[in-house]
Amino acid sequence: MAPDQPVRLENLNPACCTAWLHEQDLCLTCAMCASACPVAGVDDFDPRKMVRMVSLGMVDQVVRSRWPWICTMCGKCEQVCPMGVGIADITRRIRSLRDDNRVPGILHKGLAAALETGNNLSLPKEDFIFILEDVAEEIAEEPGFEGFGVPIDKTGARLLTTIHNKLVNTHTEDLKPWWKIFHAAGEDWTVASDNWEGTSWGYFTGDDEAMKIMAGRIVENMRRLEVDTLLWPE
Amino acid sequence: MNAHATIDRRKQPSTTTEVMIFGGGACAQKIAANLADHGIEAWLAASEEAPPAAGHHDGIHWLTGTELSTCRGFAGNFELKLKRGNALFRQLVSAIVVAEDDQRTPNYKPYGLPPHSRVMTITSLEAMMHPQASVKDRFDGGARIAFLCGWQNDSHPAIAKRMLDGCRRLQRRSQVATYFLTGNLKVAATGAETMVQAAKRSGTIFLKFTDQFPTIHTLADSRFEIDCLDELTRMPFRFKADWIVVDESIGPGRHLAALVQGLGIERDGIGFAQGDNVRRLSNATNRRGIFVAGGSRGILSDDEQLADADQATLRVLAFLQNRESRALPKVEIQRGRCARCLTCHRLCPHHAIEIGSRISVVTAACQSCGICMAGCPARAIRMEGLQIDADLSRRMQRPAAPADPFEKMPRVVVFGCARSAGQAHALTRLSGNALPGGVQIVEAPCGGTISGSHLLAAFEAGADGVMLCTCHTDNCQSEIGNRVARRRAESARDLLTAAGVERDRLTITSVAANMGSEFHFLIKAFVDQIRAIKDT
Repeated sequence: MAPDQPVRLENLNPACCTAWLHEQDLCLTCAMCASACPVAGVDDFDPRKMVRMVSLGMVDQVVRSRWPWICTMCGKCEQVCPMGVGIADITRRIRSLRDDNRVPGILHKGLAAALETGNNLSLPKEDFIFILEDVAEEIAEEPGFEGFGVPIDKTGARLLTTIHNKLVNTHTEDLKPWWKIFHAAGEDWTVASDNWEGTSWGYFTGDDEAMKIMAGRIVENMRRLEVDTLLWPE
Repeated sequence: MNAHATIDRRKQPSTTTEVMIFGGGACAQKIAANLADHGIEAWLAASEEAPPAAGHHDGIHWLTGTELSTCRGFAGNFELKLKRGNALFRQLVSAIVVAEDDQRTPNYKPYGLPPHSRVMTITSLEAMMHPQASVKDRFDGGARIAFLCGWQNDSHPAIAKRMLDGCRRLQRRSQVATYFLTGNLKVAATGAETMVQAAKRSGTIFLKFTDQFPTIHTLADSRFEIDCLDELTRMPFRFKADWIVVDESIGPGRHLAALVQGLGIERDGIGFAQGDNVRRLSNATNRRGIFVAGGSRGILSDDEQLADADQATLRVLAFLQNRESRALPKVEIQRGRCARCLTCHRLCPHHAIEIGSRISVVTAACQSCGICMAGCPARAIRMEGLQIDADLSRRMQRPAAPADPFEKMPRVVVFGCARSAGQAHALTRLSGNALPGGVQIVEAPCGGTISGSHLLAAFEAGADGVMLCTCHTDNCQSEIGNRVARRRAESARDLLTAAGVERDRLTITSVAANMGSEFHFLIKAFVDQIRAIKDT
């Protein structure tokens, strides 16, 4: 990260981030965050450095760097910070400032697909329904679950559950424990056939607008199916 | 006491009530004005010919261009000889306050800067920014100002706060950029941390250094280019500065050393007129009737100095009102026994021995430490109610408990200062720690009250071991009591050796009043040591 030529302080604008309200200016450089951070040291990343650069107004440099994408936003730094600096919030804010097409591939593409098709995989509705029914059939073959079926788009159910895209892709087995519990508990539940995606990668890319759209779709499903309880396991 | 009580001078016809205040600055003036408001005549002796801008006050008498020559007499009755030019004159006063301003030295050298038209001190910056300043500053329109603070030595909050406030106020102006280049920044003072945050929020750029400090180049246009390495990001930074503001070091005023010597009061390692002794609460000194305030006490901010002026005023008022009443036991020199050797005079840390037709203790100045008593070769000095010898023999004559459970325990006498060992002993008892059987505690007003004879008398009365407990180094109420005690104990140990007795049967140690468990532990360890000596 260290440039060859000295950075001219005259060209920096420390005031640019004072409106962020993440309290980056309160940093005492005590390094509690750096000791708590599970990825400190990767690519020379150190939460203090990021906070320091933001405080100096060196936002562009941080936006261009890999640091905000090395940070996992786990928030351990924030838990130990004695001054209440919103370090993970700073990471998210920095991520939001990167051009969409320069956001690391999978996040950018997944989010674009979700906005366009309702899920990160662009999985067609027929395929989605086929996979769910296939899993339901397998459960029905197990003793004690005879006659089990997946209630898709059931109007007036008590509970709507969202689905993480990997559960209809590589981890279909992981659907079964949930559904078996619903069955055993006699839960009146349903899954929406459109906009069923539970993940919202706008959270990771700092895209508040996308998060709003994704959340809005889930609320819309609840309205349409007249469900008043949501299970959103993400 | 009631701070607003007025001294009724008619009730004290025998003494003057004048107070002499040395110093002419804001703190000294405030004390004088406070005292005048209480109807007390206050004299201000300032070494300067023209004292700093004085608020006019009717009750204050100014003695400008005046220095102390000698001080005789005692609390309530000091006789000062003052020098003005070549003239000497006498002034009788009841109390003295040392309130000379501190001295603030600009730090040019630590930053490798010569005095320069574009380098100023924080004091000159403040003067420039003052609303009534005669010359307006030129900081508008794109000025970049670098503040250099605490590179060589850690900054002191009293100075750093002013530097930070300067940054914050300049940042309010349009197009002005401030840079705060600091070493270790100390914020342990009221409001200092808030000041740091306020400066940061106002947009000041903070750069902190611990080992690699910036380099400053003077450019052809007399401005500066500053290169530095940011220790957090490890990035090199460079910027141009139009002005540099350097901090200042605070030290004792120029005349303080002479004053302290003339008045016979303690001073600390730096030269301020009050040691680090925990017993010197607020404005007290080792001499009754002499007080120290403001910039003469140590490094205090301007606000703290003014607050200290009020506190010193209360101290002086309390002294003037209570000087006749006395809770301390009286110390007297017995006529006929005194050989006029003046050992007491040399020993007394409170300057309470008067040499006249006979040698006497001045009650008003005496603080009843008993150091003179223990040091008098003729044993001519007595303190009212104090009988260490009698106390010792009474304790040693106590019959052993029936079917003595401590048969094997050695008999140990612990002499201790009531201010430290006495308090620690009380703590030991409160926390339920029983001292080993056979231990007797003999309290004295000071470690220096215990003489070599006392220590040896304990052995004569049957003690197997003797321990002397004083206050810690530099924390003796009577300044020298613990040092004198140590000297006496070492002599007594030599005498033991000469008499063929193990010298480790006598030990000297120090405790603080809050060291209950340590006191208990020290005594137990000493008892074990004595048992080991007895067993061999």
